[in-house]
Amino acid sequence: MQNLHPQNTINEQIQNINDLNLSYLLLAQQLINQGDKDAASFRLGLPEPLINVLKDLSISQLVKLASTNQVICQLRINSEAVINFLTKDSRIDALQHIHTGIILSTDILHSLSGQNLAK
Amino acid sequence: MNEKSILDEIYETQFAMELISSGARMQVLESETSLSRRKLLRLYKEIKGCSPAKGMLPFSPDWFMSWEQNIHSSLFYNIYLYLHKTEKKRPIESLLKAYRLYSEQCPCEPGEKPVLEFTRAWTLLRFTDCDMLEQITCSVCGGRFISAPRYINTLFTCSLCHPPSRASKKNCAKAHLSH
Repeated sequence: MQNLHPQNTINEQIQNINDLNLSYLLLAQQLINQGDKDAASFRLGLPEPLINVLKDLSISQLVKLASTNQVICQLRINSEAVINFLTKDSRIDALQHIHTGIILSTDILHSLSGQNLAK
Repeated sequence: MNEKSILDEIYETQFAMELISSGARMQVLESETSLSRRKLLRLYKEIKGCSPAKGMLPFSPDWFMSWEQNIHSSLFYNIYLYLHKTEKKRPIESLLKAYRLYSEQCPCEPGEKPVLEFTRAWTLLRFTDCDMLEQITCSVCGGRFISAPRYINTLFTCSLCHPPSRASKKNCAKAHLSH
């Protein structure tokens, strides 16, 4: 790896980001179209209007959206304190994935009440 | 009988089948479907292979305050609230879907009962409907948890941020048993 030209490494990283972006968008579409739309909205943490837009995008539109040197999806747990809580050793390690679930579902509920306030 | 009512009945029967498979008891089936008690009993026996449990439903809001039950019910209730607010369907339909999503995250060991059973999840919604249980935010992690109104104005820390001392004993006992 060390003898690679830095530019090659960067190109590879950008390619990986493009791939991740496209995989994310394809997964989102798959969840929306092959399953339940509301469950998909819950799993992805995306509101219904966005779900409806993503649902109908063509492959070429998805590729267009994915082609950038920045990652298109965002870490939904955006507080360093909470990430520390969720990953540190706990006496009840077996339940920590439920904690993550509670934090994410709380967050999506907050976004919902934010939308309602805006209306 | 016209065509529509036959379709309605098929729909109701399918819905009752889903409820029974998820673990709904007779009281839930009787109040959430329009099928007769006789039909529901037959359906129950055909699906489960045995008669439904008799007797009253568990009816204690305190059950949801015990630490492990509280964690499970809080996750379920957050999922339910989201689906219910976005779908605008009958509460029981959102409940069924939310219970499936909850079960995915909290699969139970083979042969063991889930911590939060379907009928218990249904009674949780009865309690929140009449404000006997509410939601409180953990002051440490910010997650929303089920709580009794008497604690709403106190500073709350969830059992995941501060596990009770008895929690580790139970987990140790379980780990010991599995060896």
